[in-house]
Amino acid sequence: MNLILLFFVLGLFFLLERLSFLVFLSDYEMPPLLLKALRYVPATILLAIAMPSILRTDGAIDISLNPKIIAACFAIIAAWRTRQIFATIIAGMLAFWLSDYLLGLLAL
Amino acid sequence: MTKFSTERAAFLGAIREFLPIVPGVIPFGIVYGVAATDIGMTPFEGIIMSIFMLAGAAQLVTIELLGRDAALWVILVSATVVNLRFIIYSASLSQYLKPYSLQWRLFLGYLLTDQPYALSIAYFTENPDAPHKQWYHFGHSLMLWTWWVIASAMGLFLGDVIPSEWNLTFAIPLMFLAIAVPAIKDWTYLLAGSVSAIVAVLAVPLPNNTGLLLAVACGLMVGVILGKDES
Repeated sequence: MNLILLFFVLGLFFLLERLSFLVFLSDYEMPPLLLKALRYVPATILLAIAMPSILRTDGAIDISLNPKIIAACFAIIAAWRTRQIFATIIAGMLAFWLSDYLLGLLAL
Repeated sequence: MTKFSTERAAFLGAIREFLPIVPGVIPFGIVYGVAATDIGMTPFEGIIMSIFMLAGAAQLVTIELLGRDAALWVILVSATVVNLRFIIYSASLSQYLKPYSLQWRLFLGYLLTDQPYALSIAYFTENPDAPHKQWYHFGHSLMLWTWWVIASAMGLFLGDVIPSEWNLTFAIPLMFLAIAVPAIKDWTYLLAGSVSAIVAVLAVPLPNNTGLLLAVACGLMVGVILGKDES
């Protein structure tokens, strides 16, 4: 039962983070510098989340010709040309599975 | 992307746009459910954890620390630091969600997570004057909540039902790429994003996901220095 209490407290902490600017600081007039920085948030944070999963394998940096990097290249091209999330994920996963299979054949 | 002119269209449009994300959420939820079972949590506790915390990475960190019998304060600090990015999401979204009622902002705040943030901010940036932004964001948030709880339950009750060789969790970074690429509007965004990506990859060994915050700080600095001032 004290696990449930722990999860509740953690959820409360997360709620404070989630509500920080949406509720508690919603009347705060952001200075121009902060607004300018916020324009760059989507591009920077999304790449910062995505790239470690692509460029690291089992924890170590791995920039060899591997399925994840091949898939990411196809996904970037698909995202750039189509601007469609679905097309990007499909292109990336197909490139991943196909290159994983082909590289597997080469390794035999 | 299309502008949605009614509340219903915005809500249903978001739900439809979220569908391609679902296959990436499910295996992640299963990974979580299996990890929770491994340290002896009951399915009930596991589902409550998903509903109260609603944060995959932080839930996995908490489980890891519980499994090692870490001190309570270590768990509280670590999980909270892992989720510091929520403050950035909150600041970023508040620019667009500020006009809506307190009830909406409290409700959407509880539901705030990575994927809905990414999808909504892409739409809001492209369509700053779009009406019914709260319904659009709610559509994404509800989908994430529902599928996260379902996938957690699958992992907790059924175990590894999706073969890990399929590598379906790789759809998650692909989804973030899919949204990041159109967010790169000129070379200043490209440079800011590249710096952030490189720092993020190098800084993975830093504790509690703080490498992510360092990466974003570096990327934003590049953007602020190089970017034009008009907003």
